[in-house]
Amino acid sequence: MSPEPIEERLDHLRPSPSPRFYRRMSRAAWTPVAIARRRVLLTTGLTLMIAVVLLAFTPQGRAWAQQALRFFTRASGDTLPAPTIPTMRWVDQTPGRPAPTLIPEEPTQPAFSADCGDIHAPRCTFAQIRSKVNFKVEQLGVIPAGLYFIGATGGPDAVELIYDSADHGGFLYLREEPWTGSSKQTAWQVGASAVVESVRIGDLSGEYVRGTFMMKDGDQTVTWDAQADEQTLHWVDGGVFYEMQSAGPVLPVDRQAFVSLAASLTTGSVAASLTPMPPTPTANTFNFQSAFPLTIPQAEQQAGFPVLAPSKLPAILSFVGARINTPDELIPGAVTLFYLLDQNIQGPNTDGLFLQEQPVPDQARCTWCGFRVGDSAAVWADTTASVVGSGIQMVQVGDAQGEYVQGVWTGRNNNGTWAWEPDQPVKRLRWRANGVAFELSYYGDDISQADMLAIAGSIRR
Amino acid sequence: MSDRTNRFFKLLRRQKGPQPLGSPANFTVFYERTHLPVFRYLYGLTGGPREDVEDLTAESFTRAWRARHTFQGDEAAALGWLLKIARRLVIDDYRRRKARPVTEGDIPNLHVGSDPQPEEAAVQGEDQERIWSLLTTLPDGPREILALRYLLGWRVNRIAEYLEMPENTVSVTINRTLERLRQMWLQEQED
Repeated sequence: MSPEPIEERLDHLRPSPSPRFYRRMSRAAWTPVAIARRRVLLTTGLTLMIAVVLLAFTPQGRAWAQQALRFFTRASGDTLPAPTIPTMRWVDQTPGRPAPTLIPEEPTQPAFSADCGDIHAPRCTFAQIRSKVNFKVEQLGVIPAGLYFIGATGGPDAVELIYDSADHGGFLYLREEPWTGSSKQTAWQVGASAVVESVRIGDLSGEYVRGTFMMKDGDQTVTWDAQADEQTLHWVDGGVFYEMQSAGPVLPVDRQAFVSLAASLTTGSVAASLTPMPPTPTANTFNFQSAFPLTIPQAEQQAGFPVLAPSKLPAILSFVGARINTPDELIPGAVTLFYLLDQNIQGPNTDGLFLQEQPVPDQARCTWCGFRVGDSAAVWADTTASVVGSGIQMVQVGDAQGEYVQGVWTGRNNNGTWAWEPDQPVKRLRWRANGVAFELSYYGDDISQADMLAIAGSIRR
Repeated sequence: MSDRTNRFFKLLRRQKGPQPLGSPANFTVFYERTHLPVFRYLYGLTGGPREDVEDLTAESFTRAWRARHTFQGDEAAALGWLLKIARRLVIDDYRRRKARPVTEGDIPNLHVGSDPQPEEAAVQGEDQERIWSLLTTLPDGPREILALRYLLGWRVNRIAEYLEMPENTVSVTINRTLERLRQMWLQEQED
């Protein structure tokens, strides 16, 4: 036998994973499931804001506080008005000579922030936070596998202990403060249909609820979702009010297991290993200067064409630098500008806005000047990321016609085909003006379609 | 917004994934495009069983996800980076295991490129089981090169770049290993 048949046989080897593998990977940290979980968490924070306002300023809210629940407040329905999103603040730019526009917010810092950091990066040890307050402070006596104690912070009236997972797929938040019984402490609002269960934490009684209010993009309301894997437990022990909340797959979505964690609270040392968590990649650790090393004039010189930039940007974005796309990238030779999201918006992160541009003569064929609807098979042959599943919107960018689309292809189907996910906040805007093709892209909820159109409309040299 | 709400709100928002090289959307696309090559590469390195290879594949992507901000480069480079993570996993966790005979359950879900007739398919299946069995007897280095060449379909120059060895060495290794497989195949037939 000649070697060729051996080669042919090798060519035919195509091992493939089993359905079990695809089921497992459908829950991985980067999947829509994980992203949806993060949205649930975001909505919870917004809902809490509603609850505090309603309870403080409306008679109905004060009446809610009188209901039978001891540590929670039951809403009159499962749907509430969505909170108002603060208006975006914009800052004028000088195109061609970009200067950092980052104007940090002045977040309300915990009183101990100088020593203990803020909630993004709490750095006080348990012993340190205990020494700073005049009430009893406890920590988890048992730390679930995959969770790490990050640190504690707070002020004289309340302390917060944060436990996080390495991939931020789940966390546990523990707040402790002297019990006053005020409406502020019982303002955590649950849906009318929420099942609030009385539970025993050792000899103490507390209240446990699973679920949260959820809001979809564009909705004017938030709706209670009892299936969300977020758990909250409130109780009082020795004059201290405890609020323990978890989210994410690291923690057991099981009432009894969750309550057992609460029962493990201790003022003593923790026997469990306190292995330091792997460092979280942040804007400080990611080398942006290496990824976007050029100024705009340098990019112009290397690319050989004038580079345009926004003349107006939301104050939460800051210019970092530029680069020339390599021949292997989707749009070879294009210039990419990167604007980093304010680190105060959601803690250390590397999110940001991308602007890619490249001259394309008006009459020339341009493969990436817009989008086209296609199916899963078309995605494989798409070399410019132009194929989308649906939802192409024709928009006006100054005097030019552009195309906007939101969504991303994912492997949700678990069968080797692509699935278009239009709800994912992957936003792209493409247009062509004055012989230049542009793509503006952003991942996230902080920049809206209207914001992107406003940014695009301000682009000039 | 109260201090408490403000701080908790920010904690929640921190859960969002980072960019530019590591957004969930980008990583999802990357995973979809590379999970089969990674799986096949690991299968080639270890020889199975499939469940173990699936675990290794999943762990490789999990490690890549956690370390995604340390990577810079295009998608082709990213695949090489990911394969090196996978190879380290194999070295760390599996190299200590002694090679063991291939059992029926180890034979992967083998897909052939065309749609052969039932009898032909049966013959092909037997052939592939034999080939797979022979592959597991090869030393690590040649087996890896064959996995890259035939399971991933890489060209010699790309293999050489990935393994950081001269192209000629890769070509010679492939030819010698094919000849060795051929001899083993014939020997089995005679037995």
